[in-house]
Amino acid sequence: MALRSRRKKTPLSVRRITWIGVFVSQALMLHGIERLLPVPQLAPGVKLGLANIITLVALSILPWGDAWLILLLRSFLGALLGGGASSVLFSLAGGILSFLIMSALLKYRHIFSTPAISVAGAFCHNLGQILMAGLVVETFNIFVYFPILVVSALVTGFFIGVISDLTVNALKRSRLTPVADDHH
Amino acid sequence: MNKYHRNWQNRYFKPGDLIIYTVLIAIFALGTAITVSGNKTAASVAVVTSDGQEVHRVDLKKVKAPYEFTVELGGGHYNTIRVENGRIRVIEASCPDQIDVKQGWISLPYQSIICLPNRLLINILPAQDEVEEIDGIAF
Repeated sequence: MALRSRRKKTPLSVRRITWIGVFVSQALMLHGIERLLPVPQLAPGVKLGLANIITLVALSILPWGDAWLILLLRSFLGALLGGGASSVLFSLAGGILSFLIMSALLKYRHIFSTPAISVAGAFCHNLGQILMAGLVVETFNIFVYFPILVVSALVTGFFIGVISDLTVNALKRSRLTPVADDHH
Repeated sequence: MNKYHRNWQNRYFKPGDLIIYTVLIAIFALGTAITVSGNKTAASVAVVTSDGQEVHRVDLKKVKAPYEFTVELGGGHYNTIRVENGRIRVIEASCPDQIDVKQGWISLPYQSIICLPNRLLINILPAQDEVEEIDGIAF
């Protein structure tokens, strides 16, 4: 409710549209950089998740709907830039699940730290992709991947969370954020 | 150090985090338990499926000499698979993302390599599941 009322009060200003554009392009760039890094593919869906920084930062400083829009735009544009139709399915499955869990946890950010929220998001992102693989290929045992998913989520999620936290602080100090700083 | 770095313990760890980490460790334990129980079987059978059709089946523990074969889908799409004693992997593929190649070797029961663009699936089944036939694969 609080989110919705705040969103109504915030007009779709040029500044907000600009932020959406900046975040989408940054997410695509991070996605591109990540593809260049020689990270071993341990299991389907396991990756560094640099673009998750954008989701976390956007959720922290923009209205919920804007962060949602950024997620959808980057999933579809990311597929156009490389990957193809199957990557949209995987990207969306992971992205939506991690978005939902992170936005839910961010409402209780007085008890959850940003890195922990990011770890939960990273695990859900990988879990979403594994579940999608399980849906596409019926005979697919997802349990065998749980240990590796947990370890990779802990390592990458914490790292991503710290970066996001520093980014949010820097942005807030810059006073460029479109929504007034209220809930911290 | 400015004020944003001083209280890093509070910034990067709050009480609720324990809930998240505990849940993740429980998931880790669950996955490990299931994997280890599946690994006790003597044989592990690799089944290669292309576009819903089983094209190759081999007991990985009984492979003496390594060999390679190529699964063609038509339209220039292919996956080249290498089989060694106890393990199997895709070494070359026509798909754009190369996820199947990057995944490397798989050797444990229940592990899978999936190549969505070429509709290729490699499953490892434990011995007792060998009788269990795959009905089909929906895409």
